[in-house]
Amino acid sequence: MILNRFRPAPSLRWCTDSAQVMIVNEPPQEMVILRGIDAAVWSWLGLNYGYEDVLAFAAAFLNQPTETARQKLNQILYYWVELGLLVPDERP
Amino acid sequence: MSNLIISRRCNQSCPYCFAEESLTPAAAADDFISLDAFEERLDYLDRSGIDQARLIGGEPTLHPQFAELVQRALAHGKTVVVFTNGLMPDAALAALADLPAGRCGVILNITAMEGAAKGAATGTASLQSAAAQRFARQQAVLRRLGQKAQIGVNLYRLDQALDFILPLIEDTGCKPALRVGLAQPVLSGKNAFLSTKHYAQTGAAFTRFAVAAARQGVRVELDCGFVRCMFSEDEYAQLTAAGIFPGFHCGPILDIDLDGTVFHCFSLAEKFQTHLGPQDRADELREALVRRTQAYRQAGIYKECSSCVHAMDQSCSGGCLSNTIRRFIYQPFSVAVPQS
Repeated sequence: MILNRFRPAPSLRWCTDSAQVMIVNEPPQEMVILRGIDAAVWSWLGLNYGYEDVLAFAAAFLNQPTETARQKLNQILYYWVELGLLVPDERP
Repeated sequence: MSNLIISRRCNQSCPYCFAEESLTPAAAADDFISLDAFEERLDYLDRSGIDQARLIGGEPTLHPQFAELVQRALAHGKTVVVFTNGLMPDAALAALADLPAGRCGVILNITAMEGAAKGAATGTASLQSAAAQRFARQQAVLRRLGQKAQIGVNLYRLDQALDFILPLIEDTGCKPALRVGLAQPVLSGKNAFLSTKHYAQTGAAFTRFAVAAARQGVRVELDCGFVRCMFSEDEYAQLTAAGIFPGFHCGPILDIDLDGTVFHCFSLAEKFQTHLGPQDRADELREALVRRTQAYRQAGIYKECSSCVHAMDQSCSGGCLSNTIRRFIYQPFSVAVPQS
């Protein structure tokens, strides 16, 4: 299986609130607010859980079969890549 | 409102000082604002429609031409407000004492003298200490300036004594008002500051003090960075019944440094600053700094702030922005995703 590795863009700073994750991209000081499953996924990744663990958590969170959760998780992650929140991790 | 920094030198070393990084450790020729630069600042105040010249430092009264600066501000029709630790040269004291009462206000920060004041009150050996001598000087300055002077205090410790302040106001005959600030962190967190975990306890202690002060006719004013939730409903009711209506705000103060750098405030100086141009006005500078901080203002000092009813009705801004920004971190992670 081909894997793409991503990491948070170095220009991001974020904090976890009681119901959301708030991400600031600086500059230009844009705020992205994640809620629900999105906030949960970001938080799990921030705790350094790997993809398969996050997938299991997401399936439980969504109360969905693993394959359905996988589609949702990949959709979230690649949307973050589009937004520039995640960038390719080319570190060895 | 804008504060004009006129001195980078200070003769005090307060643990919570948020200006320390801008102070010069050794005397240097450019420690003080030049007369020409000060005139430019006064022109800036004029075109901004600001009638107060608020002089800060360092210790502003150490400026060797302090009396001249004050006179120039008066010539521009300004009321002079000086933020001092009270350890001022005699010439500076005389310059302030000679001013008409309506054209001068002095906020004398007493926090660092807390220990000396307690020693003096109890007659302990510390009365002889350098700290006690400095406190004696502060008392003398308060007496000389009388109603022009108001005491200020910064809360930076949970066990900080405030009980000496009311007798001090009565004894010195200074203005029966007190300006209370919460010591906030600079972004690097190198200074001493009151932890947000201690805000509720501080709120309770402050309420007891403020209600007692109000009974003695002392008006208590709160500086920026207080939050609504540091007071219980009962405490908030006690404060308002005593005529104290706290504002829970945080916004650009506009501190202008010797070289024309404009800070949001000292706490955020390293991150949010701009430069004073020859035609700039305060409202434009403030607007620019508000825009640059806007993203962070959606959060607050606590994780509950962004969903708090007091944030939603805009009665509380969620505390000091420096505390808020210090919650934002970059925590590296890496995720390997199957290719879609």
